[in-house]
Amino acid sequence: VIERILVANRGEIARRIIRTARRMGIETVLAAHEVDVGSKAAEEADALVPLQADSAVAAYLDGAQMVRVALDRRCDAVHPGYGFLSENASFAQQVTRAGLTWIGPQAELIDLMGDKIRARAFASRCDVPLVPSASGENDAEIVRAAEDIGYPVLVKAAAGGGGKGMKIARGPGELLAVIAIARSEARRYFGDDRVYVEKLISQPRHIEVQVLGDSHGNVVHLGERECSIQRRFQKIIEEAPAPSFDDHLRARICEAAVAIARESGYVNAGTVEFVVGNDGGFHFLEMNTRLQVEHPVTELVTGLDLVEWQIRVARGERLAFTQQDIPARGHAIECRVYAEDAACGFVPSIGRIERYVEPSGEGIRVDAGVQEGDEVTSFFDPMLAKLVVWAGSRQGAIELAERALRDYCFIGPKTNIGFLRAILDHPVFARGEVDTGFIDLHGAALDAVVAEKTELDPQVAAVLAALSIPEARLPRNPLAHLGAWRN
Amino acid sequence: LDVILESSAERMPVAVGINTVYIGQSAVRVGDVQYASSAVSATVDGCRWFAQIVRRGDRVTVWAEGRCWEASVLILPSQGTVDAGTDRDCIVALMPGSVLQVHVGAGDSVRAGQPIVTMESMKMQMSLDAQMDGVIALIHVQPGSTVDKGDILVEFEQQA
Repeated sequence: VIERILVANRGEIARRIIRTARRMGIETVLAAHEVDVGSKAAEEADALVPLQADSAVAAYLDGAQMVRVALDRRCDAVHPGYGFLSENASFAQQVTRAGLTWIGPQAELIDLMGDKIRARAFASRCDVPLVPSASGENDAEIVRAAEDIGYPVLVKAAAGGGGKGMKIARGPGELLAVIAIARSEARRYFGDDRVYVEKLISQPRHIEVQVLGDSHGNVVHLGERECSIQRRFQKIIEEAPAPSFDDHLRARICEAAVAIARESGYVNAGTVEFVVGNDGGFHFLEMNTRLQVEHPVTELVTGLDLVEWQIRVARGERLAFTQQDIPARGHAIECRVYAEDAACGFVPSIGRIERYVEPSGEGIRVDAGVQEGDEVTSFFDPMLAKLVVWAGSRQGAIELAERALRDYCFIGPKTNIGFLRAILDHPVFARGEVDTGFIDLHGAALDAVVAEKTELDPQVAAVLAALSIPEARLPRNPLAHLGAWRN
Repeated sequence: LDVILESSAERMPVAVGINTVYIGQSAVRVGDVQYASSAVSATVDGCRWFAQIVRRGDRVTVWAEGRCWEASVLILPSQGTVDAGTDRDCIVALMPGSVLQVHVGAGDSVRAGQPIVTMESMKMQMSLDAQMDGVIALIHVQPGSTVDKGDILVEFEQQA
């Protein structure tokens, strides 16, 4: 049984976990750093425990403290969300050793899939195609390996993920420098500077498959997600199902994901990521052993609550459905709202959220981590919220997302809302002809549309502003007063 | 008039009348204005707008249907006469700037509304008018004088 869950995370995903736990009659304890004690998640959790730490990020990475809090507060399970400790195998182990239920896959699988080199070897044993790649004991070996693979190559961190520590080398001349940067990033983010090189697939699509396994040997997939719209290797728009995607390819890629999960004896929710070339070939990229940021699009098309199933399989339940029972209805799109300046290289933007009004209506879901009055800081990832929509068709979903974003009011830090709208509005996106190069290729066209969609007519704006300024109200004798101005 | 909106592109004196908002030289028809706790909705030139408006210090941000606009709000002290402690009333500078023109001489009789001094401030001209009928007693400035907000420019005696 699980009666009380420690939520070892913050922001929107903490709220997401709390929401489902509450619906299932499970209490939640939120461990939060002091910068988050006034957050919406803190307000919604049944109990709040302040974390002691030197920095806000350190608080959420302090596994030992999380376990202590869970035991002190008599929690019986820990949900790590995504990021932070979610893919930390030793934390999963600590949780289990403390007699708590870990709401996630087995520690040894987190470990296996967390090592990109071992994970690839595993996928290969499951007959899942890989992107040609090679590693080496030292830089010279890696350079030789790159020659065999052929340029351009991608230099990636062995312990990487989330696009961090990933760099392109277009030719042998720049490879050594790129390896040095990738190693330094990998050391900083993952404490492990091993890197490997991978063939760069041209015009690749990033497609991933949601899988779910129980502890009775059942594994299903919940269909694929299209995640090609990325900036700086990070996803900003995801959808389910993937548009313009061949049914035969869809079946094969989903089967490949299930094969990896089944062979590994995977229990809980996970995601197998693939890169699909413009020749229709697909290759294993990595497996993420956690709930993904973009899980809501899968929830909207399948009607399944992934957090609920994470909890249910963690407490030993069997999946209540077989592969054939899982529906795939309509189309869902997620837009990640970031505090960033899309016009200036997507640099994060910080500051107080002065006004915050969410869109609402049928088919619109907002998973937000922030509320009006919150201070957006540079401590954390600048994602503010996820706008997720569902409609019967992809066209309908695009229109609904566009409208919902138009109605999404953020006054404070700059956001990428206008940029997201420009993407939704782009004819190439509308045709579903997406690949990971979309934003680079169409950047200038997108920027132009952003300006057109986000600039308010100055006269209308001034009128609206004037209406709200008490000092601008005319006194008793308006005409005499107005006469004072001569331009 | 004493409120100016200054965006990056332009500076606009504003005033709100009945069914009309005056923005610079233009009068814009406004109808059915409604205020919610933090929002304003109004029909502007026949189009309905739902706006969120945040004012913090002298900055105002207007958001409406995904579009944003920002400006500074300059509020000048209400134009009026200042009692100089005698039976004389004064015309004072409402903002720092320079005097462009003095339209009267000492001893002139003036009528309420008659322009007395034209000032320039922040690239904008402003006419300071007599608030009532009277006689000019003293003139403290000449064209080109630099003045601070609150400086007395002209003193006049009210006509009994």
